[in-house]
Amino acid sequence: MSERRPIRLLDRSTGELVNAFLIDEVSKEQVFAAHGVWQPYREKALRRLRVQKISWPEHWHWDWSQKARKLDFLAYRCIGVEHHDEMQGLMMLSTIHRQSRWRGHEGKPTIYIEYIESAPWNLAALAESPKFAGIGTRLLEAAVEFSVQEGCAGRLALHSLPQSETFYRRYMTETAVDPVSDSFLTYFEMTADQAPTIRRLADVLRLPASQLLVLSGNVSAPNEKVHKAAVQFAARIHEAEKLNPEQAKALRDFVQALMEAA
Amino acid sequence: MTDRKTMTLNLTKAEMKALDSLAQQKDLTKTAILRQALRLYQLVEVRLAEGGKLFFEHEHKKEKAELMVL
Repeated sequence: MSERRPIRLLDRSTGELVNAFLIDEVSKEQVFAAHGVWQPYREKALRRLRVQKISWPEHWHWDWSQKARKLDFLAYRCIGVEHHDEMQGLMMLSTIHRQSRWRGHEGKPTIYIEYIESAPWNLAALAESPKFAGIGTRLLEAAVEFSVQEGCAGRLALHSLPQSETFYRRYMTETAVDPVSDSFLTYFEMTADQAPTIRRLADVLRLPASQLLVLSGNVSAPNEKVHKAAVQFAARIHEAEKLNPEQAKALRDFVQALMEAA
Repeated sequence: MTDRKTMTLNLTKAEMKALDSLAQQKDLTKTAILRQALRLYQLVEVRLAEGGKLFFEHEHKKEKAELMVL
């Protein structure tokens, strides 16, 4: 039986956060239903783009009614984001662990994200005024959580379409070795260390997550002081929005170290 | 969270040794290892029933070896 957990999305039209739900195990029927709503919107949007001579998004052909059939197997899990009984995003995970290719994590079990997509009305590439933001991020967070539940310590992997690479670079790192040798897609992995903390730091400090990754020591810290401050802050912070005095001090120290390193 | 049921498993010493070894190697619980095996076995069985074949391919040499699954 699936669970529904409250989350927040950004309503782009008002700039306000709205309540939504994360569904940890979306059924095949729910995916079919979402496809039934998404597909007419997608087709209409694609017709408009053709008339306006605007290029289509690379995943224009994705068909969730086909992907839903994977849910007949234990090898797949679908997670969704719902707002007012309308599916706003879906993510298909492989529950058969892959082996990490990340240096220092080689061979460790990793959860692979097969597909992840926001509803077409939330995509800037399809909608004239996208409705909600934050869906991809909420789904990635759910994937990290699932990875932890599975004993994979938050490790994730995926192949990204070229148009989505900028998004994934905010959270993940391109690895040198792609397990699919002839893939034309870019292979990304995320480790446990970089997953939630880096995103929170990036949000709080309004800095690019990729640069924070380097600073936090996941790649290589250019400065011992920066590395130490980042680690101390990361160890203390739990919820960026509600910092206690100790966490706030750690944040100030970290920002100071960043400024000195700049 | 999916409802869970508990079962007792009878394994030989060699089977338990293999399970222990995999759990240690992968840094997973024994339950997680068995869950992985079940997921994979179910997927393979259905693919084979649909007429598929299961191969191992050497990453560099590209040599293929068919895996027999009965």
